[in-house]
Amino acid sequence: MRSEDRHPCAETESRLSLWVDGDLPPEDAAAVRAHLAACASCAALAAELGALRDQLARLPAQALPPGLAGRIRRQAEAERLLRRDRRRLPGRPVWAAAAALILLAAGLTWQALPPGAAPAPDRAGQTAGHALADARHEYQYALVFLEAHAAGLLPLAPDELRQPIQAEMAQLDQLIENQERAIAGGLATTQTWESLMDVYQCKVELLALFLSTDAG
Amino acid sequence: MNAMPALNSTVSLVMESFPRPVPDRSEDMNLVDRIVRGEEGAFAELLDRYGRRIFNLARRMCGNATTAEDLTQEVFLLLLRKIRQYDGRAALATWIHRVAVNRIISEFRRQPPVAEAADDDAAPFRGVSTAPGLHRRLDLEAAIGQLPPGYRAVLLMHDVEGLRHQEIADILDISVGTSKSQLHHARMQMRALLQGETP
Repeated sequence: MRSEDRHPCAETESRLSLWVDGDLPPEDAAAVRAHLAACASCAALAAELGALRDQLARLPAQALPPGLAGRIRRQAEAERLLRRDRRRLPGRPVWAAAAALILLAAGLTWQALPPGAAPAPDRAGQTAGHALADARHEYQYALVFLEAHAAGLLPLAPDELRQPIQAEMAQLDQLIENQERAIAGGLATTQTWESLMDVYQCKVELLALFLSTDAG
Repeated sequence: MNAMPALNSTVSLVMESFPRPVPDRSEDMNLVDRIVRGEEGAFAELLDRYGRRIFNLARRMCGNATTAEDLTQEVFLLLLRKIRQYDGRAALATWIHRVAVNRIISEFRRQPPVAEAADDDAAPFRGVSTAPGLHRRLDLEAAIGQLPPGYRAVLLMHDVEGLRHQEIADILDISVGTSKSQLHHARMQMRALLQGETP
């Protein structure tokens, strides 16, 4: 090949895929066509690329492996149920705000009381009861999540599993902190202590389960 | 005399008379709405429509059917979690491919793909033939498996899946020109591999 012919061949070669796909503007396509008429090697290359494209387009697609579609559908259903259960619970920010308000109200009531007056025991008990209910919600949700993962219904990557469980544990920590604050503020009743013990128990069990997964 | 304003206004008039067709995504949006509402069978319909394509894309991208099964599962669960984010700006197929390709490529980065066939079984590729018989198909599949991931993704989406360059550019977040250029390089490498040359 003469040196002055190399450039047209290289130029044509870089545009051959576009040419065989019909993606070149008309004037460029005409230039390529003219070159191919005069250059047997570029014409052969164009024919090969065209044949390759046609063969790739005709590669047969394999059917889904047996059982895969069913497995995906079951997993999707498990996720849908989990999300539905999640929606039934009050939103976490609402819980946190409610718990904070209850504790704040309890604290203000306590401070507003004349010296020597005792807080209403039912109010303190109610606060502890709310905290315990919150902790149980958090714990149950996390538990369902972990169990679904363990049963292979939610094949999540460790990071994907770690994130929601850590969020649940952070909520439990918040509840523990709130209960401890209530105790430090002198609002403790027997129920407050029992509630705190239960929340700690939830956290310990959740932590144990979490550590037993690949995300832990 | 300046004829440009007149020409411009004529062009504008023509453009207004023949506006660029807006793709009809109502069918896509309808399916997505049904999935979001939790309608029975809607997710199964999505799976029927795209499951095979995603499985085959994953299989050819990673060269391993077992990994492809796992990836297909992950992609569809990911789609279910993200389905509310679909806004109809792209075709549902393009959006699904984007989710799938991103997931497959992130798997590539985490763990480089291992082909199921042993390397010592890799006989030299046979020459180009026009009839894509079984041997030819096996050669093609093997050659695809030897392409660099970026070339492989573009080649599979354009030549095997039939996506357009604009769609591929959207999916891979690259320019249309890059998609075209990568396709050409991929085909040239395929040709070399099929002729028994090392990439």
